[in-house]
Amino acid sequence: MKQFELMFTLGEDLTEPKARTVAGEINKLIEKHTGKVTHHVFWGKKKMTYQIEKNTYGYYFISIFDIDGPAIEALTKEINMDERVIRYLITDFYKDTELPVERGLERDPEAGKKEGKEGKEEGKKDEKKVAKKEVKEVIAEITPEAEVATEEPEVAQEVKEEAAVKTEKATKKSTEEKMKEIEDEQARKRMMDEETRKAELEKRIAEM
Amino acid sequence: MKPKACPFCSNNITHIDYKQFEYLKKYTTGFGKIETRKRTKVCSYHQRGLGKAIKRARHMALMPFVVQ
Repeated sequence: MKQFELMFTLGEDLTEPKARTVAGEINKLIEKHTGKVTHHVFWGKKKMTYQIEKNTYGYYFISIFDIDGPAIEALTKEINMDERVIRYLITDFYKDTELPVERGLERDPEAGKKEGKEGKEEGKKDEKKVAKKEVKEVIAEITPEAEVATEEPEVAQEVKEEAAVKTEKATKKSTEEKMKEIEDEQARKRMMDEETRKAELEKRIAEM
Repeated sequence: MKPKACPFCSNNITHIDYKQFEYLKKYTTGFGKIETRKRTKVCSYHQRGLGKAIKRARHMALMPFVVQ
């Protein structure tokens, strides 16, 4: 099973409710070929950029469905038989893409487009604003608690740091002491060696 | 001069959707032709996707083949 996306347009001679029923019939066709329609949307009545079969406007529908790959061939044959469908396009559906949203009629295409654009932008802005507000609120909610929470750990941290410093110092001291002791011992040994050597040399000189 | 970064790569867009035809208009000339990679500064991978998306949009009469 694979996810596909079918977009098709119906001629302008239909009314909106009729177009919807035709779209329902096409969805039934998909289900006839062992497909499952997961998402169906009326994408709006749009002015097409060029005339198709003497239609200047078209009803756009999108349906997303799961179906086995080989069954697509038979489906396309059946959609080709339907004369009410002007154009159709079956593509793979990518999971990351956003699901298409239902749009109304666009009798005045320019006004509708403007509205749609503004609406989209506003929606996006609103979403962003809402998100920001939420974040701010969350921060505001968190901060007083967080301050209290942070103070304690700070104290704890200070204590810890002090302890750490102490231990470090202690370790350093211990290491330094050890090093000093070792150095002293070595120095003593050297001194002893030198003394013994001197004594030996003196003895030899005396013998000579 | 550094080459300008691909806008799709920098925004982590892998698949270009033909349904966003208003956005795709940015990548066509005044006559409705697909803009070259020299002008758009899109990487080769995404330029191929762009071309495919524009052609699909043209098939569904969402974008024009030719503006007269």
